[in-house]
Amino acid sequence: MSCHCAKNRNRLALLVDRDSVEKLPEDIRRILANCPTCREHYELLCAAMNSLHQSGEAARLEKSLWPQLAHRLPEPRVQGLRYHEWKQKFVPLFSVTTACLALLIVFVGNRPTQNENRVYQTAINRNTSYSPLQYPTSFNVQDTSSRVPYSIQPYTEPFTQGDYPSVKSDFPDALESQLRELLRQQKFRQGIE
Amino acid sequence: MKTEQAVNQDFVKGDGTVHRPHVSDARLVEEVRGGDRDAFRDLVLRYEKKLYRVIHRFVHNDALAEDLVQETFIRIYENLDQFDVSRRFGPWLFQIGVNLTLDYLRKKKRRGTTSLFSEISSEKSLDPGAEDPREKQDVNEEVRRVLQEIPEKYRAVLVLRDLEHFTSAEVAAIMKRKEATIRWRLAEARNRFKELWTERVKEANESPVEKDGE
Repeated sequence: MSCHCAKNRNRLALLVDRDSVEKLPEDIRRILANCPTCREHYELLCAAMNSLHQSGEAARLEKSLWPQLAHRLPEPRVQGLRYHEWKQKFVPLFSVTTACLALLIVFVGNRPTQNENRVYQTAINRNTSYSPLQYPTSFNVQDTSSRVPYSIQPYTEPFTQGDYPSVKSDFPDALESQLRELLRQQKFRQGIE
Repeated sequence: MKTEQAVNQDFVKGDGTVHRPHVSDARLVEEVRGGDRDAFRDLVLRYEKKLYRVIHRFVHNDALAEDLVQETFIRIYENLDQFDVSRRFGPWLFQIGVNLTLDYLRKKKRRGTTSLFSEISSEKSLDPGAEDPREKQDVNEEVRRVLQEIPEKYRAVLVLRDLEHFTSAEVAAIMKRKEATIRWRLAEARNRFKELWTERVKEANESPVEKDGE
């Protein structure tokens, strides 16, 4: 029977403090039963370790070393205490404060604002001109009782309240000119009257 | 402020010092950090005997072992702020003590002054013409000489594990190595000790025959 004696040496060495062979794993017991080299190694190992354990009596300290040691110790640990207290009290305080600030920043930064709508309303009330990007989606035209929605087309000219809406792109030129004429005549008549 | 229960658990020793065996190491360390020297005395009383025994295994000299024990405790006291209370105090103490001892032996060896170990090992213990050394010296001495022939990293593991009966995990913590490394070193140390011990036994058995043959 072939036996990997060299490989078994370390395993046997780690198992050597078992009290009896019966407590060894089954495969090791089989190896010891069949391999005389491993068996001899194990027996010598047990003998050597027994000698080592028999020599286990160690020196004893008769007197405590504390009286001599007490004189050699440095001054009381005041600095260590201060540092430790500082660490224990202030580090949690700083951590909580930092966390609160972080939360505050996050909530304030993400809160929805009505500023843009306010700008539109204020601008309408003050009768100011708009850029195309700020143009409102609906507004009153002449008749204030009803709102007329308009679809917004790309708009290039500034618009002021009181002027005509973007009829320029919606009506033919002839109709527009007729409409302007009619309005002019109506104003003229009203002026005469 | 001590609770009544804590006071009841304390007891006064013969020299008048109050000994508190039920207080944990971590609690004592906290008290020492707070400037309480008595707490440090309790730690010293708790560990000095075992530490002395371990260090004596390496240096085999009473006065030197006492010095090294004191030096270890002074270092502990000075570096107590660095100790993590969530870890065990014992392995940390023995780690510092063993490292201090091994450093001392290395320095002594480097300086050219032969250490106690090398003095012993340089002696020819088994001179064929001489009598069996074990007739003069006990087994302890023989074991000590054999141990000196084992390299330091294996010897330290063998002493801590087989002579001082620390567990493999504790030895790993003391030596700052992985437990698997410690187990491998232990196996190697035992095998080396066995080889050297068997060789000595053979030589000792052969020497009386040679003497009779003369």
